[in-house]
Amino acid sequence: MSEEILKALMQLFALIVKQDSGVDERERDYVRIFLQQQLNHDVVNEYLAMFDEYAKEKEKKKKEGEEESSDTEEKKSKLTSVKDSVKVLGICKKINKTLTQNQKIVVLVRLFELVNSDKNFAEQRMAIITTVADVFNISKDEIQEIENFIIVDNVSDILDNNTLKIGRNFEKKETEETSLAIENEAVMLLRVKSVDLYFLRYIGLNEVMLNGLVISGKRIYLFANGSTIKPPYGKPIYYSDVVSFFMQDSSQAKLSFNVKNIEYKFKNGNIGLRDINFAERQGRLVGIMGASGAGKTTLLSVLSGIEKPSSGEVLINGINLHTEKKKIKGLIGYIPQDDLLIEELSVFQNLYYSTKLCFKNKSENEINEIVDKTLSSLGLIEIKHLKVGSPMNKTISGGQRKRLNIALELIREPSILFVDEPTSGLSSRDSENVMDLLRELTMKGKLIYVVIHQPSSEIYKMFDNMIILDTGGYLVYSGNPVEAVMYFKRIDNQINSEVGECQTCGNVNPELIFNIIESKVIDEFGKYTDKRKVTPQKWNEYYTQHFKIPNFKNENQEVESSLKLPSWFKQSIIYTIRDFLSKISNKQYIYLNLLEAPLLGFILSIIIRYIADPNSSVYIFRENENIPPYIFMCIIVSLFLGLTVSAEEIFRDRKILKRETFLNLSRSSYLSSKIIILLVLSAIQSILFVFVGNSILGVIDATFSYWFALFSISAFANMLGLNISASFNSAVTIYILIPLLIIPQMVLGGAMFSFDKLNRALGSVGKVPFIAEFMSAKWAYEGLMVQQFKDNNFEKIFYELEKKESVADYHQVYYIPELIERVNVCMNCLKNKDNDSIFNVLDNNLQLIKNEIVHIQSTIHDMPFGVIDKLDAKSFSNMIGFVTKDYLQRVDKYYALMFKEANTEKEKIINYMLSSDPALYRGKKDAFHNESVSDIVKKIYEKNKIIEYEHHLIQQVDPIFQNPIIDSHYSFRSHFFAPQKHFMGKYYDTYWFNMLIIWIMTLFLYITLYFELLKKLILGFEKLKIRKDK
Amino acid sequence: MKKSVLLLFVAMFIMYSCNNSNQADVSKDFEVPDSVLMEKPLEISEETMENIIQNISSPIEMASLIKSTGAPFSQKLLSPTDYVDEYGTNFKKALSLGVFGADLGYLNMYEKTGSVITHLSSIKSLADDLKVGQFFDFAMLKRLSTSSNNLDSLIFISVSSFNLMDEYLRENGRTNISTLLVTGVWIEGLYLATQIVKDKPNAEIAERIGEQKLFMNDIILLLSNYKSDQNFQELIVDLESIKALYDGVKISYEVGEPEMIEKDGRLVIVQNEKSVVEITDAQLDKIIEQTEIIRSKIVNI
Repeated sequence: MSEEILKALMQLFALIVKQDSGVDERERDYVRIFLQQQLNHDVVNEYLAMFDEYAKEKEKKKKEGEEESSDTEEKKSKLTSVKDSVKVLGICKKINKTLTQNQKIVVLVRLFELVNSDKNFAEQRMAIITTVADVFNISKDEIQEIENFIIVDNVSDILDNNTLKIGRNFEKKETEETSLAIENEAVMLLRVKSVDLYFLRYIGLNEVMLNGLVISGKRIYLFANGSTIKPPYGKPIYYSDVVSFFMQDSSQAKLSFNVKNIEYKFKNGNIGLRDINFAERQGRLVGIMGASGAGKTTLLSVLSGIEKPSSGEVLINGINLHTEKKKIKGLIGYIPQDDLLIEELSVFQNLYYSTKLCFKNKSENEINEIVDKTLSSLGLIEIKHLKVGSPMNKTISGGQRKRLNIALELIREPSILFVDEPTSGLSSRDSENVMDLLRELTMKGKLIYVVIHQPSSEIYKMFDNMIILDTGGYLVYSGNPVEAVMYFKRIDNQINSEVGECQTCGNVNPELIFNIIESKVIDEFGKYTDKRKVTPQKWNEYYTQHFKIPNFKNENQEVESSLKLPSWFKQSIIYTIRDFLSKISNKQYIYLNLLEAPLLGFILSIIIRYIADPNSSVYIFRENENIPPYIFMCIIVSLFLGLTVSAEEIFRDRKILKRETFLNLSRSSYLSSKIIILLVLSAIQSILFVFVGNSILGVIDATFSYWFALFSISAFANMLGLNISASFNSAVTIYILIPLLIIPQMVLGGAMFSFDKLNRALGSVGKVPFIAEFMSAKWAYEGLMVQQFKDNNFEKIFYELEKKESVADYHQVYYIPELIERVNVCMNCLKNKDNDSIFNVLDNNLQLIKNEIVHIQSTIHDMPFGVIDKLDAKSFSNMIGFVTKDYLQRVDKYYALMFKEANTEKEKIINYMLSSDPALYRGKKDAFHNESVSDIVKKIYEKNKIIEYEHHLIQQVDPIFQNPIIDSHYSFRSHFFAPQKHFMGKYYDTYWFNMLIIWIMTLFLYITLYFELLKKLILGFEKLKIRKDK
Repeated sequence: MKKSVLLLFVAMFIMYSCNNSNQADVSKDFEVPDSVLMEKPLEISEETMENIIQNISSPIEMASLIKSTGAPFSQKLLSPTDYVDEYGTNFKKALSLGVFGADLGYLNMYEKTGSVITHLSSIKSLADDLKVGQFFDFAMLKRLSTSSNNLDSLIFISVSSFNLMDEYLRENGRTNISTLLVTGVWIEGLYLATQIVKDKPNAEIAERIGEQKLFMNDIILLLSNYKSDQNFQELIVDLESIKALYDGVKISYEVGEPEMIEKDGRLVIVQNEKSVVEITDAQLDKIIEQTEIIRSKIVNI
């Protein structure tokens, strides 16, 4: 209390006292005692002198007045009264500016008390009190209640709702007409509703202790947070009991929270919690304390349902929290120690979107309204448009962040709230504000668990209940916080163990508890050893000996959640908007992401814009040898962009996600919001990249196909990135992982290393290696190369003809001669058929010839070969050999004709074009046809044009003109650069087929993402490892 | 920041538009009338053609003659390979493949290994386009031509490759390509010879140039087989212009002394016949000039 206030009080006291007879001795005593409570001895006298002076001054004046004229005495006394009233007004106004409403109530109570001290309720005195109350803006009802509470002497006379009378047997809930009240003995408690203050008064002759101090029947005591009344007999009365009594009136949902024999084992087998038992009900603020490593946060996780206990159960109104989660959805809120804020959004937006996700039935206005209301009730309304910012780059203070975190949960009003260290890192003032907030919530009937570390005395006393854990997860105390200090002191045989708090200042030192719990044995040299005096097990035993574990009967009231979740679609939209806003508010992110792609496109394409002719400065697309690497680089760039943009997405949100799991929001809607935003971003990046790159390199008329291929690849990479961001536990591991994902895509993409020249164990003849089929880069590269070669404005005129040409040429030049050669070999073999090795050669060759003739007959229908059954080692003869050769020569003629037709037609077309518009022909060729692409898809540098593999001849040239070989109805694999793909008896264009495959892969990744398969796999491995270690 | 972003995009857009200004009309489509695709019959039989082709000299012959006169190697004489990728029709490709073949002979004769690689790759690309690449083992040709002392085998392989190719083409009814190949070789041979004479008059070579009058008629006869094709028609017209210049050249045969030579272990009497070519300098100059024109028409686009 400041000097000024004290002075003002002295004046007020003096003013009241002097109204009639002057200073009564009892009144002076009261003032003295009052001052003694506030100040030390020396100063008490100083202020008492001041009081005396004020009081005398008035008396003197009065006497002077009496002397002046005795007949106007009455008039004068009234005059002074008016004068005094003015003075009172002045003082009160001064007080008004400096004192809180709580303090003002206290002043008023003191004034009543003063008047009550000599039972002189003169009219003037009461008038002054009324004036004071008026200026203080205290309601009439409350004044009446306070007056009643203080003045009335007879217990039975006090009859109103805001007073609690506790009779002799001190049954708490006994309010009215208890038999013992007639004996005129009771502890009485007044609640001043507007400010939530409690006052204590005792009428009776027994010794009643308040916080370990005897109380006087004459005085009114402030019944502060965490106080305890100890009547001479019966159980102590705790602050929380009193509060919950008054709260009972307001209609609150009944809640029981029973914890039974909880045990928790960590994954590595260590025990985190052992046999925890306690019970709580609505409207309580429960603290959890313990040395570090005692399992506070573990307990909180188990109680909130994040972790499953290894044995035991948590029952909320009889519903098992861990097995019947669905029944109590939305009931529980969790505020972890870390921030859950979206740093890029403003204070208002953070709360707004969180609210929108909770309440589908509220209109926009209603939501704005409750958000504003919550913000102002938390004192955040001033900063509502500020960006939250990161803890490193602060825009709002730590206390404000914490309050905003609480607001996020507060706004949806969960019935049970778990808070992990809400005060850590906050100033004591902010800590108190935060705790006040939680306290207020409990007033509304919420049950709140708070893990707290080194609380101040003020905060410590706020708790209704304190759970203390000791190292190893032992429960060593559960009960009243102040009582805890006494309990441990008592066990430790300390003096004064009945006093929990400091007698003069009312402070409690919670540290004392831990000093006792963890006190160490001292060795003979007076040094502390590592050994504890009392082990955690022992403490646990003490606890179970001294306390009976309370058990509330399970309330069977239906729990109702205020949560009204919006539909899946709406959730997605809200998530998307929220994410979008948070992204665009980060300017660096936006600029970088939008500039990166075109810049890379620019750098890449400008570097490889090669003009083949050293004497020319005209760029010709046809001659640029860098187009195939360009296509491949486009794909790699898209993979990189897609991965980097997504790799941290979910990881960054994981805290927010953890909180939102309590809301039972749809995971798929969250994911789809992520995917929508990433896909849009990737689509924009791809189009910018393609636009710039293709323009510079003169890739014409292919913008869409390039864009779509790169976009598909990006989408795949996005999904891959989301998968790893959902599965790994730090940003570093995620970024370490990126090369691991990209390098195989590069190696097995088909551009850097030829599929024919890989390790034999991987390669497969005539098909893309099996492992490369899993590389999206391969599908995209193949698709784009095939598209670039075959579907451009120039080649499309000739492709079909060239395909015929190529097929015919291959058969004529390599295939048929090879077969004829083999028939010759077979005929030679006939002479030494009995030799095993020669027989083998014969057999192998005949098998191959047979296979190939079957193949020929499937393509050329009107050329029957009658002796196909004779093509085996036993029935083969020279005769058959000649027939076969003859057949093959006919086939050769067939292909010769086919070649000539196609070749002539092509020649004629070119001829026509060159004669009609040579510039257009050349221009088209220069603009659309690229030599390097064509060299690669035709494999012109391949030495082995034809190879034998498993009794088949495999074509190694012109893959772009060769249809895939069909193994089965469902086969879809093919050789690299096949012009079309087969599936279920039908052929599909390679480009679109490949794109479809990439999207199927993407879809598969979405499924793994949705079910968190990768995460489960990693966890599975970790478990396996632990088991092995054991 | 925003400004610079905008600037970047504007710059990129300008590049884009510049880039495409010279190809503005490539998106236009070709309409190929059906009449173009109609077949036209041949006029002389394939067997006759075969006989004629056999008589025409191989790419090596002229080169070896040139070398034997002691004329120095000249890089300038070789046909440029720059346009190889731009030859559109098989007509053009086949004709220039012949030209490059003759050049290859010339290069090999002088063992100019450095330039051989460029020519080989052009030949490969043309041969592949014509689908006759299988007759060239390029890896081997490359190895032979880049290491010395392989001249004989190199020449053998070159010649046999050309012969095999020719045979294959005829077998498959692609005599037009084969004809063009032969024509190309012949023209380039003539060109090389005329250029040597132009540089430094040489009676022997001049006489050989005159001798070409005989082959000229054969080649025109061959080509006329395909004269329904406009390209062939044009080529015939060009060759006719040289043929006209040859009109003044006279070739007469002189009967020399009979001679006894040993052949296959038996003595045979051979009546030596010597052709005498009468060609004036003015005629030669005109032939040189015209050959240059026609040859450049072939190798350029």
